[in-house]
Amino acid sequence: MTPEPKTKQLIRPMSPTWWLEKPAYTNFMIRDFTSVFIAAYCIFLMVVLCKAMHSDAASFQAFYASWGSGFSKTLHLIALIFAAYHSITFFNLTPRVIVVFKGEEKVPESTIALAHYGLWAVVSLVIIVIGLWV
Amino acid sequence: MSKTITLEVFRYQPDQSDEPRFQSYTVPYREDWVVLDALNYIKDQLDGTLSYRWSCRMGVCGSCGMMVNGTPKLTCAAFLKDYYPKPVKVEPLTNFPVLRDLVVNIDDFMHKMKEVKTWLIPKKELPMAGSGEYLQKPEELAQYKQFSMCINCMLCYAACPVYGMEPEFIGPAAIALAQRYNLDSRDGAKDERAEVIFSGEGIWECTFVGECSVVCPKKVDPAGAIQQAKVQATKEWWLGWIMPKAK
Repeated sequence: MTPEPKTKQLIRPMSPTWWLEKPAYTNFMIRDFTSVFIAAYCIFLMVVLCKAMHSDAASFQAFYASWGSGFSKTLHLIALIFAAYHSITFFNLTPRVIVVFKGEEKVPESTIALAHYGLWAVVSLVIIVIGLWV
Repeated sequence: MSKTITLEVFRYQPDQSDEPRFQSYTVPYREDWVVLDALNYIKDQLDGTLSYRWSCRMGVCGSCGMMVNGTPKLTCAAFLKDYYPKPVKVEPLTNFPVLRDLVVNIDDFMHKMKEVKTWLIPKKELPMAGSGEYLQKPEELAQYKQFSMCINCMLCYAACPVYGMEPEFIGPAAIALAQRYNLDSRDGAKDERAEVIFSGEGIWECTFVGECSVVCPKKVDPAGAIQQAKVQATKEWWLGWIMPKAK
């Protein structure tokens, strides 16, 4: 435990709007809150898919048709934008977490980031191909 | 007429008032002056009651950290020319209690450094009764060198909203320094530090706001150090779970 101060001191509490004081803090809050949306979307997706898979053919057709609604398209577009935003912020931060040395030299951050973006592109392409094929 | 610049300085004099205030001082403007030079001018020529910490004037000692126009800075490296002709607001580092004027209480930080054991605890005793050398290869030095640049200036704590809200958080510099010693091939106290570093008040409090690394005057990247420690802790947890006997 931190020792108790022996002299009088001034405590300055953080303002409730601290996250509006700097663009970096605001960006952090946007990152955090959009991740809540992504998590909620993932749970929602899993639940509806489980329900659909355990229903009869007619109910599944009705469920499938509901995905074409304007609301569903908007929801998925928002989810796609947020997911892309999180992928980009994640890949941009990755080189600071995965540090690779070649002898005394650090492998450049750009190399690590580009490798991740490359892998992302390949995996996305594979998913698109599978989606079109199926 | 020679140019001048205004400094709006945070004043807190607990022997006179419980309320802090700002006091304006007009000082000569010189292109080669930093904020610390202006504060020294005030102290020497205008108002001897102003209190602040400083020592080396060359970005090494880490004592002169203050908020300059709301951003944590070493005042010995914050040039007046970057703010002129607008006034410069100087405040004590945020997230720390203020003792007087621009002087903050650093007891909490010092206590955390001690808790984390930010010093070298050798893996083995020196040969020849303590008179030998701990040998290290350049590639082993490279592993931790960046983190060893920390000068304990505490700017990272002032930039960290997590520390502001949760003062129990061990904080960026202490964790970066723990990582500095954990990565040192001569050190053998990783497990001793793990208890504090891997606790709820350690690395897991950090939400990667990242401002600690932005304000760091020595490019230590404490945010990176914390995330690296998270990966290491997760890896060790899984390994301990899959292969309990390996530990």
